[in-house]
Amino acid sequence: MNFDIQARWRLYITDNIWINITDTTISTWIVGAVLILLAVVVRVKLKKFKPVPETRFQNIIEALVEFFDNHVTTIMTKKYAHFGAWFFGLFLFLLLANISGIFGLRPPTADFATTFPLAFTTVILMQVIGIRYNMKKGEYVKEFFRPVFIFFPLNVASDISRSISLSLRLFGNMLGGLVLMGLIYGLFPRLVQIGVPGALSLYFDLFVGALHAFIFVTLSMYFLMMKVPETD
Amino acid sequence: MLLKNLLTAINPVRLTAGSGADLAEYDRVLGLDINTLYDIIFIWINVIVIILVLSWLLYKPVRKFLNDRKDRIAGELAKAAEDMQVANDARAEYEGKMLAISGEREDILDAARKLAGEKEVAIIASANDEARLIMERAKTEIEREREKARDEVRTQIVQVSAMMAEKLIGGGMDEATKSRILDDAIAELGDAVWTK
Repeated sequence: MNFDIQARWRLYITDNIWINITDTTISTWIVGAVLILLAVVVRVKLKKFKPVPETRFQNIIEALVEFFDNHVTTIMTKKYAHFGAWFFGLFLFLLLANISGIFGLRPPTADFATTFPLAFTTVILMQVIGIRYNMKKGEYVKEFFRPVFIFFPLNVASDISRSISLSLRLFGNMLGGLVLMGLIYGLFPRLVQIGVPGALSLYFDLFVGALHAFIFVTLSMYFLMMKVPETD
Repeated sequence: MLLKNLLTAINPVRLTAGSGADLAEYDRVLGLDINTLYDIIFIWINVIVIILVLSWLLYKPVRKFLNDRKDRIAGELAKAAEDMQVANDARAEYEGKMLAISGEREDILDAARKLAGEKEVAIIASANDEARLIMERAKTEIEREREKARDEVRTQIVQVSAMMAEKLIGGGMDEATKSRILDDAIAELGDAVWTK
């Protein structure tokens, strides 16, 4: 039983620099393709959407966007609700990536190479939102020296560590679920793998996956809001 | 080169470049090497593209659709409230007018009643005057008829008396005598006889 990430192809940039096309890369492409296909379908069908929803598809899409919009507005207030566009895409990607194990893929989020850049993006956005909205009177810079100036290294480390903690939380949970489900499936003969492992798969792949997608996005939003002026 | 040698010393297998056999040797769960960094950058670009496409194709248009609908409903509600206000104003104006009309009606009726009362009094007075005139005319007529009847009866009595006297005397009386005796008799009978 091998839980390692396998490289399927290798893309050489130079003789010494290359990119591995791994299971994670392929899963990411598949998840991305499915999501983009869904987005294209929505975009095409949007022209036929009625003011009062008549189809289940329209209901689901509206409910999803409205729920997320309300969630973003609740955490980030209306002033920063435009960040919802990024977080909505992030949430959908993480949701499908986390539950992709059900469809036999290796979840892209069970790879630190996926979770770290996403968490690091959050840290970058924290600095962007801090500089953009909290630079007046030097509040953004002053925050790094609070409560006293010797805390500067700790405050910098705190910001950096957020990307590590955020990414490792998701990575660890997804990898843990992957390993656990692999072991459980290994315990049962193939003929009876639909029963108990199936139910556990619903929990570890579906529930935990959806939960951690939600946690990742919600925490990211909270981290961003830590950088805006307190009056907001 | 120095970095590569350093990293190769740390993780010799994963930095072995070149042959297809390397693919089989590549496996990691959490490898902190330069290749993982390349993987991270590559996946980062992929994921950012996916997320931006999702935002552009899915989130923003649907959100715009929802916001447009929300604005439209808010506009319709505002218009409905405005129409309701207009209707309420019109109803208040109508009710005010109805109250004013009711008062005006009472005034008209009062004026009519007053006028009718005045006319009633005038008509009754006029009727009384007319009745009084009729009564007076009737009394005058009665008096005249009575006089007339009295004269006729007096004439007849005198004629009868003359006839009786002629018979008693024996018929030797000329017309002039008759006429004189008749006038004297009438004069003597006088009013006293008829006023009893």
